[in-house]
Amino acid sequence: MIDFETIKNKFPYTEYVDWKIRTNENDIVSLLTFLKENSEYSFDILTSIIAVDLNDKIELIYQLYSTSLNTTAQVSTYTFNSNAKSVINIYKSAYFDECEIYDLFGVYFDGNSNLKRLLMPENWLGHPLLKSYEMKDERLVWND
Amino acid sequence: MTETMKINIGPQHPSTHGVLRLVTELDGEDIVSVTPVIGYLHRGLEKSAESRTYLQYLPMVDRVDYLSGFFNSYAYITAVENICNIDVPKRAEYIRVLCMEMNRMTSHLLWFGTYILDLGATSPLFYSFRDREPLMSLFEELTGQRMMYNYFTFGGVRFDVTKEWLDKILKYTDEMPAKLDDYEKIITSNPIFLTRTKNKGILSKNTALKYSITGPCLRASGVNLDFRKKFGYSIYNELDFEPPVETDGDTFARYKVRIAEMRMCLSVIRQCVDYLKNNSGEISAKVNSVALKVPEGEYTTYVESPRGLLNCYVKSDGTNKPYRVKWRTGSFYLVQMLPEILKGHSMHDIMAIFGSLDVILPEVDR
Amino acid sequence: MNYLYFLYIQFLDKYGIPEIFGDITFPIFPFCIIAAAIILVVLFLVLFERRILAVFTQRKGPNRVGFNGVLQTTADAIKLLCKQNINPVGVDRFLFNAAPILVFVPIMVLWGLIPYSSEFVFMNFSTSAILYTAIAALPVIGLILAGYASNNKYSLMGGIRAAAQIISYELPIMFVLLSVAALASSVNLKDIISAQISSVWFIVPCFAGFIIMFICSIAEMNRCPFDLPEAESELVAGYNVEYSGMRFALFFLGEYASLFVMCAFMATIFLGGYLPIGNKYISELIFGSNFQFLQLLIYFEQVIWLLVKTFILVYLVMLVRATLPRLNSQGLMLLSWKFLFPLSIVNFALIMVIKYLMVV
Repeated sequence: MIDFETIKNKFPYTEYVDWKIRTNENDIVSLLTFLKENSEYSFDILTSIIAVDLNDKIELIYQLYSTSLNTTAQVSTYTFNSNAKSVINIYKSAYFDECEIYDLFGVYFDGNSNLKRLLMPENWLGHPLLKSYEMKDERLVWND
Repeated sequence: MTETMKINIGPQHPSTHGVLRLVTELDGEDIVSVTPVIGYLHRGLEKSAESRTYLQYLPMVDRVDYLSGFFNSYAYITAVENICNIDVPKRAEYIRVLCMEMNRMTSHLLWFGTYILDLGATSPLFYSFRDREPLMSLFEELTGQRMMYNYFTFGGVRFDVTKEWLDKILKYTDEMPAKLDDYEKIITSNPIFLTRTKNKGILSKNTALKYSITGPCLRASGVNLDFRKKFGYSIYNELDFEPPVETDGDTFARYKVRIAEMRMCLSVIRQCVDYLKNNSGEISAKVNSVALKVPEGEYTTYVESPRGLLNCYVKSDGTNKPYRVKWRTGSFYLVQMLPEILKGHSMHDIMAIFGSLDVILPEVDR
Repeated sequence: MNYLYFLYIQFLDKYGIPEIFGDITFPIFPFCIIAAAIILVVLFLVLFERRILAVFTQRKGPNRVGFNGVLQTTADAIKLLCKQNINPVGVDRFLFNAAPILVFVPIMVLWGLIPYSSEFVFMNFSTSAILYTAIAALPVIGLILAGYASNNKYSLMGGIRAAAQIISYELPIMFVLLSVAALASSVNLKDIISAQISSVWFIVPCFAGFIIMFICSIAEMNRCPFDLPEAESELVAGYNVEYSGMRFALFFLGEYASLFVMCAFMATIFLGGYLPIGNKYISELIFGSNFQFLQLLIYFEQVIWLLVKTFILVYLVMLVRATLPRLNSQGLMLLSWKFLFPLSIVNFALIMVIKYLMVV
């Protein structure tokens, strides 16, 4: 388990809930940079980004792994207006993750200039993994 | 600079192992750029989870990666078990690990055959399929299925293993090392194979970490990261094994890691069989799977699948259906890394390198 | 051949048809014989290869159609003939149709150049060995055209690869042929065989040449491990991606016909062609030298000897296919220009020294 106090001192807005660091959406880039660059943690792998639709907001969970510490960390943040900061400059592997979340949840990532539909067809309407998504949308026409 | 040519490799192509599309820009035979296009196999497995109960979703889980179904069901089931605080009997855990390692063996054997086929040699495919067959029959005997097993349940496994079944595995593990030697005899020192794989598709340690590559591909690049060893989940910390590591990071290193891993699998399988033969016990915690009470909570499992780290994130809101299931698979990140690793190679090397990564497309698209 | 010609003219003469008509129409006979022989041999070769590969990979191979599967390839051929010829959009119709013929016809001509027995040569030119190599390089034109006309990028790349490959592997073959010609003091295939009666088979003095020839022939046939033009894991099927039905069958036929004829050619110049081992004909041993039809029997036996030697070589080629993975193009070029080509020149020089010593 990682030491939360140092992080708390540096990023006052973060909370440590269960086994997950929660921060606000502006701090996410600097916090991840800190967690990666700091030699004490050096979380060098972003294993995945998970998005969860909580109806009024979308939770983004960044799962980190540190090869030197052999420990995982979860950093989460909420986005209320489907806008988030991109982390592809810190972790290159985030590109596909962000595209997937854009595709399935409709979250735009600032700084990721090349967002595209990854899994769904390019002419797909709506974002399927949102809870508000209509399963039988008449407007969906294949090969249009 | 001559005029470049754009060529679509796939979605339907004999050696993309599924339906991957690589938009390739070629200058003569040299690759200028590669853009992977995925999504042709998207089945909405994550969305489907939200409209099914925990038990109803279980059979679908094997389809995430059809070549290693046990790993997927293990990842999903342990996530649910951890949310529910179910203690799994030790014998069940051993059976699970035994199945998973046998599954890893079949997966690597299939990779071996198809990879050498990608390089143009036809015979090894039949050898590896021949040696995969006994394992498939064993799975069939135990679970009733050859690929989509649906064998693990919440709290354990469905059926107990028999002594005869374990004996058959022991016989297989005794025969297999000699056959692996045969494979290596025909392939590993073959000069054509060496020219096609050595120093091709070099994946440096930093690039691999940057692109979140895990599994055999990362271990071939010199990072000793094996979640079985590092986290010791299930009963892996009771087993004696050492994941193979190579430092070159090229196609040949990935080949060698997988061959060595097959030998390691055999030893792990033997240890599990030894335990199961000498110890008896329950194979399932008595859990009502149909009306499974899952409290509010979330959990992420870390499983070392044949293609790297397999995460299953399950979030429960207290109802009988998962609120959100997210699959993190190794192949997804391998496909993302393709443009980087293929840069500077020629058309011939596309399949030699891509094949060595062992990408399974259903796992990418989910 | 002369005997057949004589019979034909006599037959025409009986009905009062002038000899000139016979002269013009006579080539139909060897043509028909070769066409029939090609189809029979190819049907057998495909079956043979499938059975060999099956044995090599511990399978059974085709064993259902006919007795033990002997009719499998015939059934396949009939299926191919009955299939629709698809003309994809955007192909160059004329070249697209012409390409399979351009591949197949030169190979058919090659079949006419091989002396099957001492009297059974369809085309006996004084320079038939040189002519053989010249014509053997022609099918690649068909391959390039097929690649170009198909309007498919995979095909185009396959065609270009085929061209590059043939160019690199023609030169060593020429040098090997030169050394054989020097040993035999002739470039006529029949004379080359005759020269091997008095001396040893040329594989003995020219073993390196045989190895070079063997490798280069595999490369010219576009067979594994040199099957880059149709590498199915990269180029799907290379130059014949867009072909179907009869046109594809022609490519297929050409491939196996060239496999046979290349091996027959190698058997001719290195293994004594139709000569028996030890220059003693089995029919002579059995029936004695005074037997009435001995000469006729010997002709047939010579054909069988050539077939045996050819099939041994064909078997070797198939074993190579079963064993090796495919080369990449860099390796292909390196093998040819850095290894085979210099070796063939050295071999040629050595043979010239041997020849000089023999003459002195």
